[in-house]
Amino acid sequence: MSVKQIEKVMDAAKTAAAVLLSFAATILLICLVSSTPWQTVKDFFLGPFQTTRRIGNVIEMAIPICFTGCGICIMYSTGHINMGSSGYFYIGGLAASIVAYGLLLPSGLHPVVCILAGGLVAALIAAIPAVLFSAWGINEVVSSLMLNYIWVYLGTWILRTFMLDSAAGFNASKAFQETAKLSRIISGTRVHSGLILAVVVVLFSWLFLKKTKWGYQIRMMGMNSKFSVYSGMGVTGILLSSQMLGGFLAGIGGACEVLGMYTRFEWAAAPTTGFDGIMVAAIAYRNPALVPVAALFLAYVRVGADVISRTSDVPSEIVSIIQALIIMLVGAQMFLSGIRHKQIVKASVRQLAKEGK
Amino acid sequence: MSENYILEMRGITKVYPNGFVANKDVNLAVREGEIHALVGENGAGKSTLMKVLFGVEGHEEGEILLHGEPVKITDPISAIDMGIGMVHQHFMLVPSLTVAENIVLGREPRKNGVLVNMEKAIQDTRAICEKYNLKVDPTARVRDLPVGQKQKVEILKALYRKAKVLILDEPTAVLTPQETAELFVELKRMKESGHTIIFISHKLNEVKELCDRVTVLRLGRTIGTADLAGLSEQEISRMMVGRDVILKIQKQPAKPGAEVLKVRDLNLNSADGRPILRDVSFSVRAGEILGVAGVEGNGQREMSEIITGLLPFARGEITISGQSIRGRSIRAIRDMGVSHISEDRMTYGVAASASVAENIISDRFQKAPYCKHGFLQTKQIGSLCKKLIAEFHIKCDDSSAPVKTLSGGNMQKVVAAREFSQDPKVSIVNQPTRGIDVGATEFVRNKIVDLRDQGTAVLLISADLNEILELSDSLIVMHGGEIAAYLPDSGKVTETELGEYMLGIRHQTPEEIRSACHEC
Repeated sequence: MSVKQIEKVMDAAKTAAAVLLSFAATILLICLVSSTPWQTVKDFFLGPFQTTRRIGNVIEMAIPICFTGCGICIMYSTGHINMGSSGYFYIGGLAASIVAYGLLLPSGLHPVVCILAGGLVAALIAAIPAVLFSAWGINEVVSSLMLNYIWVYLGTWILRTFMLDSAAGFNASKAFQETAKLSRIISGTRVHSGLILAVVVVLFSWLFLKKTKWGYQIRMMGMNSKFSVYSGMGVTGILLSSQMLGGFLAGIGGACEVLGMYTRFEWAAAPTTGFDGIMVAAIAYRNPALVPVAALFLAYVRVGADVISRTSDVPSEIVSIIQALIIMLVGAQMFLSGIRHKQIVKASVRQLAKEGK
Repeated sequence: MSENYILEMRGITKVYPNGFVANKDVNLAVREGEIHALVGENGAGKSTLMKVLFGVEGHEEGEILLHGEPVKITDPISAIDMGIGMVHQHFMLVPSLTVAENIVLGREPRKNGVLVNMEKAIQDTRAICEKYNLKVDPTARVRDLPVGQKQKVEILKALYRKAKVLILDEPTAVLTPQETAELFVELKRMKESGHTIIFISHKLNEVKELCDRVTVLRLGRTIGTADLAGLSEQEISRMMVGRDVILKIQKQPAKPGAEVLKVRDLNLNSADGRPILRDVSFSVRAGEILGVAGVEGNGQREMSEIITGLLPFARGEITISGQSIRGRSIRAIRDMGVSHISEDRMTYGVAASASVAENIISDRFQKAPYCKHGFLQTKQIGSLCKKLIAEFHIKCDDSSAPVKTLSGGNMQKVVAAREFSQDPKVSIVNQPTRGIDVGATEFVRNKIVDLRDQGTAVLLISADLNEILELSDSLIVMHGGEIAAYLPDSGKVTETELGEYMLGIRHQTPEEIRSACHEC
């Protein structure tokens, strides 16, 4: 095996080991706190597959994460960390909602306009941290994270001032036009046609990042931005456009979520989907092709936790422990690095012997 | 052990995380009180071996013995505690602190057990300077010192930490011939006072002059250890290279054409107002190599960065075939036919984690036939890479191998393959063979001559005097941001003469320097 192959295999092994270790920890925890450990463990692992409804739950939970996850893959490939996808997702949903109840359009066109509106507004606000960084060197991690609060409170103000339907009985917008809603595509579940768009987004992101000249520039900038500058690439433009594209994807994700799962805009806070995207992109090693796998996995453990919280005495918060363990272990540079280094040493020494040196 | 070795390294194997085997079963035995040379080409594993000894890098196999006892050196602190000191190739000093502060850093003399006793620190520094007759002003700030003085501070730092074994990693690489001579006197004095010195170099005349014994490394292995007394330079060189080669580049006399690159009255000040370039004017004609000699840090790097668009310039004018580059982006300047080998390969020259192919296309990925409708054309890129890998003898699994898995020499060939393959009008070649093995050096140098013969105007900047003298058709010497001399025929220049211009001891008249512009 070449060094390159070893690195790939070890990345996969690291993820697998992280998953197994976190599962082991979960089982241990369940055994410690549950009075019916065996049944609880079984429910946790098999529960999500037991009914069509639960399988649907897994898929519908994974859909929005695919959008934010792919957006994160593109944004993070520049080497710049943008923590704002939670805000972009929220604003995308908000903007789509305004179009969804406020405009009268034919049924085929209406959701398209809603989704585009969500994506474009989100793209615009996603440009802000990149502009702040390019113009004044303001750290994007901090600015994008802080801006999340601004978007959510701005959104709440817009909702309460302009969108509120007093007949609804709670803080929610007027009901969406029927023409705007995304249709259910699997009966017995709430899986909506946003799934198709999610598949398209995953394919697009992968092609864009790996096969186009724009993706190439983004990746080179992420690996060595000085090299990009020296080669003649305009890094400011690349940064700006990649952040806007990432924001766009998160925004259309938010739009699909409100149009597929809700009848009114009623988010009082930003859903966790934005941060889920960061987690999923990390597990997928920033490869959009692996994002759906990671998103489905995350949705699976969440639905599993949901099942046991209803059927047993173990609370669903246990899922946070699994998430935390996986992310920590996948992210840990040194985890399994001893084995990796030994493999590389072996391969290199073998290679030397083969070359007869 | 019959012989009195102060230090032994046995069977050391070191593999870097990228899979590069830097040392394989290397042995080194150093006697007490000798100056032991460690020689080998660039990339032979000398620096790695010393990093292992100093605890900067770990090792996979082998053991280290100090006074015959096996020791574990886990980090530089334990190495220092065992009496090992190292002067790195790139100085590890705090520029904003004074000499005395740098020397005592981490081991400061205390006042009342808490406060730093600065007077004592200065006294100690003076005492140690006198003891070893190394003349440095303890109160000077390190950033104001010339390179030779900084090196003395590094040596003093090691001596202050009571080093008995002193490792010097290519100490003469940054020095002028005159400074080198001074260093040798000091090192011999240290040897007489009982210190053991490991001297890393690939300059054989220096090794012959200074050292007692030599260990030769080649491709990460020990070739052997010998007394220098009965050994000729040719014999050592054969051990180093494995064959009889002396780098002699075959080249025809240049046939210079029209002026291509013209630099007029270029000036640049640093952020704090210090002049970096002062009224630099010269021109390079098609089909000639103009060498730029000079101690590093005399404006050469900034000059090449200005010409290639990496740095903006305030005063002066630069034209390529009559067209000004002022206000143009790096890509626009590259599109005018300027190619650039950066002195800092890992920072600018390559994206180490990216593949060979991705590194080769970084200056043409957006152009046909490599890109159509925004999509990269894998086939066209593949055949380009195949051609260049063959033409430049790049040793790699295939073009998808990450560049970081290649040796330094092969990385530089990737850079050269990119920068030399688009028929550049002007090529700014900065330290083209720094840190690469002799085979790759020879190859890259020949490619530079080929490029010249195809009519490219080459500006060659190098700290390696041999390289400058070997390749250049004519040359300029830079000192303090100015051109100190223009020497139209590099064949008639001696190293001593160059050294004097580099140090600023000699300076040509403005008339002589003006002839560096051909069509003024």
